[in-house]
Amino acid sequence: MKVALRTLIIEDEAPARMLLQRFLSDHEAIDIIGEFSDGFSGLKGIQENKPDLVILDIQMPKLTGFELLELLDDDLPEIIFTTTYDQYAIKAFEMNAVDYLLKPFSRKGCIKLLIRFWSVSNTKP
Amino acid sequence: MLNPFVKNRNYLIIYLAVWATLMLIQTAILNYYQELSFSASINDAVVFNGLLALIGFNIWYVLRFNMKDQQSSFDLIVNHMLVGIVTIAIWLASGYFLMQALEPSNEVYLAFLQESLPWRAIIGAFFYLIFILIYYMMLYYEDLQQKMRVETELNGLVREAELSALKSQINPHFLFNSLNSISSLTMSSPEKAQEMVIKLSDFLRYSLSHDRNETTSLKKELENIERYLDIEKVRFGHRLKYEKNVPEACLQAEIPNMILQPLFENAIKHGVYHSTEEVLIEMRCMPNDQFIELHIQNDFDPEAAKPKGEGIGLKNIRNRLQLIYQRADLLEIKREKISFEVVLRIPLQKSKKH
Repeated sequence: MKVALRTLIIEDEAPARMLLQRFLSDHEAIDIIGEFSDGFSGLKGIQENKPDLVILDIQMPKLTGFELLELLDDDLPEIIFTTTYDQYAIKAFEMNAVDYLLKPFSRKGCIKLLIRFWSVSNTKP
Repeated sequence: MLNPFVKNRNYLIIYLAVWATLMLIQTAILNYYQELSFSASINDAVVFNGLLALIGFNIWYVLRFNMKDQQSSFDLIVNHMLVGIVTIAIWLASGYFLMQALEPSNEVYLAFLQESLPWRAIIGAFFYLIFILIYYMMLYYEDLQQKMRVETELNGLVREAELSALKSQINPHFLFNSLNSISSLTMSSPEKAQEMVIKLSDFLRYSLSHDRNETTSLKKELENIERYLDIEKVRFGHRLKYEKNVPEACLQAEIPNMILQPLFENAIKHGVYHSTEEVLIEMRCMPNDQFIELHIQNDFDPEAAKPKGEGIGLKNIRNRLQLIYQRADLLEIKREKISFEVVLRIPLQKSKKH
């Protein structure tokens, strides 16, 4: 049986957080283990929980998504950045983020991205 | 292009008056100094000056024709000399034969006519020169005026373009984020979502329609700011707090439209974005005789990266105020340890210069 991805959502805006939660929570591929609303608590959350996947907002108080990633040098989880604008996309790829979600989020887009991660992670030895 | 003497009635009157005066003078000279008969004197003056007036009038068209194709100045001078010689010859010949027909038996006059032909040729050349000089001056003057008109027009256009370039544009991040919030609200609270769609629409409508007008009342501008803040509050929740202290006396003052919006956008960007705590954005207005003074103040996290120098938003506001009110001292920035304040002074007299 395939194992669900242990996922963290790090996003400072409550409505956006709720949207991701609703889109993803009832899908078998994903298991949301935590939500954080700023960079610092998100960093701590990653270090403590060692998730498979992090859905990470770029623009956040205290630490931006990029700064957060720079502090996580070892044992990097898979990262999906969320942003409004694809101007950040190139930088996101430079930072080895596998993909990014554009706001406003669509349910289809979220699920599609997720399934891809899920199958990739399940083919890994 | 019409002869300027035809286009302008005043010019025509002056032209005719000059020739009438010349006719009178010539009649007097011929009659008094040359001791010619009065009828011969007046005929001579009318015929020769009248012909010259007629010819002079038409030199304009020759001149315009010459200007059609670009010529070197050498060609132009040769051209004018040829035209001048032909013109004078026609003038003299037609005058000569007309006078012979008018005064056939006046021996004294006919002898004088014969004798005076070389002098008349010189005078003709002189007149021809004066004509083309006057015409060129008129053309030059008209050209100059045209250029000045175009320049004033262009200046107006440049100023308008500058102003519209300086006007704040709607930030696409704001739009996308708001749409994302609305999407979220449709699930948790459809009524609120609906409310927010209306607010966002009103905000967009205001921003778009006010591209045209330069100023608006503070009241309207504040209504739009509150719409904007309401929309942002959905995203930021308790982190965004807004307080205002705006006395009635301020509300009707005319201010440049959409001038406050970028300031509030900055307050959110540098205050609320970087903080997990509540951030207060405070708006105060103080009226006096000449100004209303608008203070927009926000707290910010001193640990967050400081923006370098004056951002494009503030620069644009400064330039816009400069363009509208011709003053450079209307925007003031106060940066304290944990608070940032912008002071705008808006002159009360309506400065809608164009």
